[in-house]
Amino acid sequence: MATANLTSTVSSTITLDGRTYSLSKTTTVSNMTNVFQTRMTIGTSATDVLAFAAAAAAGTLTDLDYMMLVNHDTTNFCTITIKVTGGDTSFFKLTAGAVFLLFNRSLDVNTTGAAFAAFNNINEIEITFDTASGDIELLAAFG
Amino acid sequence: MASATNTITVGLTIDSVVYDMSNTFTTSSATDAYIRRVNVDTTEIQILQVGATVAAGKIESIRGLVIHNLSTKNTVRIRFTETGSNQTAIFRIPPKGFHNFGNAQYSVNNTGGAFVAFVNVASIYASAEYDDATILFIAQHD
Repeated sequence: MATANLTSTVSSTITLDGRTYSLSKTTTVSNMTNVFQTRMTIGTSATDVLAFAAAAAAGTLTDLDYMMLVNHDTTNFCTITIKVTGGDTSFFKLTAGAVFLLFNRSLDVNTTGAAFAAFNNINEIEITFDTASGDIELLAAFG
Repeated sequence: MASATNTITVGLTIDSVVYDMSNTFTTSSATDAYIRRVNVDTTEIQILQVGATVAAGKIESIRGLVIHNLSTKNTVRIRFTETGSNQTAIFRIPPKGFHNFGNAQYSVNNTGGAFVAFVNVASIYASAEYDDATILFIAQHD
């Protein structure tokens, strides 16, 4: 089985009054074997863009070591719904042109301000655009 | 002139097929910058506050936040809470991994419920999951 290393770099640069505050790091995720990459137009209703299950299927991966999701719209934000079916569910606003990253399926939420309890594996990721349809691009991989 | 740029790239080639992606997000009205490197152990500590009142360790809002786990072997947990410490989300950052946010808004429930409304993050906490680690983060708002 062919494998390859995935390399991801994040670079942040802030310039204020001529002074630059910058940070750049590269990480390598080893031995990737499965890749899912897509660009989709999503409407204002929640749309599944990726699922996780024990068996691979169309749009379904069995694990996750890296995910990069880009909102390519220039105006509207989209809401990313990350959920454990019937349980822990989180919603994040992804503004126009921004990126959301995940390195694993681990999520824990509560509505009481409580400390960490236990991670659960997410099963599904949905996108909902605000106001009008927009394009997203998604890369997910695991080894 | 104040500006902020976040660039994220990924490179992956398997069997000569290239799955690369790159994205640059720029804002032209950054006003505050905050960079911190801190060691964490398994006891959770607050690493950043978010709110209107200026204070040490506090940023008015989030327009960009990248948290790096510098450890080569230990995972880190990052916990977000809103004002009043109600809605709470916890993520795991693997060794050498990172997590990014482009704004301060999120929402959670633990019942599989539909989206209701965004809340603003007020505090961010970090802890090492099993053994000591070092995190490095950069935040800015405009």
